[in-house]
Amino acid sequence: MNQPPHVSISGLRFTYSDGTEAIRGVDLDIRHGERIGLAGENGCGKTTLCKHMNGLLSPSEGRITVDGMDASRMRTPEIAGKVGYLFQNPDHQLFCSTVYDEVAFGLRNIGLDDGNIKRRTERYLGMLGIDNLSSVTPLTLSLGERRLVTIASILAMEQELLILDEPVAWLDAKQTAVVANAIKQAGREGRTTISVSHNMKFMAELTDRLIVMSQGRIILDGNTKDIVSDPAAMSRAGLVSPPVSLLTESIKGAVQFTRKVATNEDFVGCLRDSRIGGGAHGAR
Amino acid sequence: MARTALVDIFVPKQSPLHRVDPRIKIISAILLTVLCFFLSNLLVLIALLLFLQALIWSTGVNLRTYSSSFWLVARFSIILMIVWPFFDHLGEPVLLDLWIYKPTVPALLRALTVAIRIFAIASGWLMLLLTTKHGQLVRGFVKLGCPYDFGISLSIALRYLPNFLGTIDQIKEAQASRGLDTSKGDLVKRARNMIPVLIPTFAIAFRAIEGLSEALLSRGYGANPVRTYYRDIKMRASDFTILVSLVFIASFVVMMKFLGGASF
Amino acid sequence: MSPKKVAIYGICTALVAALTYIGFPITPTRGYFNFGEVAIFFIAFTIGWKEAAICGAVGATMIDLILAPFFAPATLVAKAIEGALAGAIVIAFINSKRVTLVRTTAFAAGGSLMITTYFLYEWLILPLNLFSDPGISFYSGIGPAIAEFPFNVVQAVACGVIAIMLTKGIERAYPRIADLRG
Repeated sequence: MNQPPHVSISGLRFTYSDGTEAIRGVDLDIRHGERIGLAGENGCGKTTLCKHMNGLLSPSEGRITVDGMDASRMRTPEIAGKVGYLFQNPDHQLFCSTVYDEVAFGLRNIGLDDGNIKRRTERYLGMLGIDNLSSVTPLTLSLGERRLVTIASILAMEQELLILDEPVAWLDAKQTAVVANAIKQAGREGRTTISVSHNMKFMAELTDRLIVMSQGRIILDGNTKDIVSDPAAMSRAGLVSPPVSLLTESIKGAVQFTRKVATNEDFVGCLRDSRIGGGAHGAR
Repeated sequence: MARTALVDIFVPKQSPLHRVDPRIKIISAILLTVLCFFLSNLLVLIALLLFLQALIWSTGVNLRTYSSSFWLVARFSIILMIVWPFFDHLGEPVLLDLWIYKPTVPALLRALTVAIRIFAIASGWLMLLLTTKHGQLVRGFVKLGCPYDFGISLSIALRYLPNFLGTIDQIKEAQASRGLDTSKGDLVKRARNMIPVLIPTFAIAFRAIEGLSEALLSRGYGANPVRTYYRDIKMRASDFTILVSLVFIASFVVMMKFLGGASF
Repeated sequence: MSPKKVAIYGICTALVAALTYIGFPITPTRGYFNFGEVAIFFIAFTIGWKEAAICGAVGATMIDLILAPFFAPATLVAKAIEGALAGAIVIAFINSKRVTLVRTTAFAAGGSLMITTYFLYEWLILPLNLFSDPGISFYSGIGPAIAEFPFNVVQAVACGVIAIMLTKGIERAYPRIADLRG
């Protein structure tokens, strides 16, 4: 497993043309298949950092390579087959007359033949539960459904590196679950995912490594569960733990927790371990 | 970000220029434009340009915001000056002789005159935009005789223009990430590739229209044909003075040109 | 004017201005190739002739005042009559089934008026040298007017074609657009 890193950033600095220094020195290595969460307050530079990975921005100083290639020399349309970027606002992308065409658009751009386009489109529409909307006009759908269409259209391109900007924003509970599963599936298929989000519950369930930025620098980088279940670390980072971690904190006196609690599964597991309300017949 | 430089550049400071009645500033910009068309002496134009720039500086403008607008106009002038010698070969001394590209000193001076003139005209309008809030600008137009509806539409247009420019950039990024290439290929391909950028732009514009009309309706638009204003604008003595002096200077210059053939 | 109309005029003017702005400098005299016409033709095809004329004229002139001030007077007139004629043709044949043909005729006619206006302006009006500019003969007169001509034609045709594709695409992608007329 001595593969070179998927993404390698060293000494990255970036200043916008109006003078704002958005990135003030970032060094980061991301390995293939990692599931990364990127968090931080608004304006901390996380979106700016991500835009360097698919060629939308070039560093003012420093280097960034993706799969060994210098990302600043790549033009975004050329790198679209290797690096996928899901933008937050679906209305910036939808323009076709049917949902099917919308998903097929990206696939055509990366050169797939019709047979493969059909196969992938049907697969991902099904995965996101919108195959019944295949011939509907995207711009007439509700906001959540429009988001599902753009998520499908990016996931279908099956890039090795996937950057997701607030993937579950504006989705109802059912849609969130569907998207979370699709992202988990992408991880199982070996794709590297970087999820940018404020939703710590989502981060705890779908990422293994959490990187927190503030004012253009990385201030925390470690195991997601470790960070998220540590209230001191979270408050230093200016983040709020998922509800279940907060609950854990507040009943720590009464209950003994044998491990860190970041997700509902962790919590239930701990309850079983500590044999609350049932003693020995708490099955493992 | 630099895209929106030109139209959202109001500087929220207080300076004598900020306090001048918007109607005067509008009329001044128009008079200045007309005046510049009549001035052809390079030195006079340069002096005028420097004077206008000094006025702009006196408003306490932010260097960063201003420099984006400044370079936008400058870029156009520079290109004009570079391309000029393709068309104008007259005069001596000749600096270079490369087939159809023959810059001569008099020709370059002519190019410079035109470039400075463009700059001066743009400075007049920039001064207006830098020191006048959108609301005041619209009020100025309305008081100068434009119908109130026109004023509101203009205000909407000014407010949404930077939005649309920013949105177009964001759409280009989003579609590029799906593999759309808007800068390569022959003319036909590039034209076709604009469609995935234009359709979302227009769709967003239509959503804005729907949202706006509902917002206007729910705030009582059109309920009463005669409208009162919360903050009205009033001309002051200093405003009158500026107006009169400007009209005087402009008429003087124009008259001297036509009657005396003066070398302004 | 109804609130919807006010909103339409405002947003459409902003659209024309935005598309006019994203141009790039090509010709030395006129200054730049821009997509403003796409918006004007689109408005003529889908909304109305008055809107196309007014939003086109105001939107394009706004930008020209800063980027190509010598041509602002011509732009004011050229875009107004271009939008008006294109819009009028579309309305006159609104019930025709041959939509693309009608729209092509509309943009061809409007575009021709626009090109002619600029041509005449450069040939006859600028040289009147109301401005006594010694350099005037180098960006006005019959020579530059003829040199400008092909660029303007390319722009009108390209924008017209894009506008037709755009309108078809929008009508399919956003059917509610039909509400905007009238």
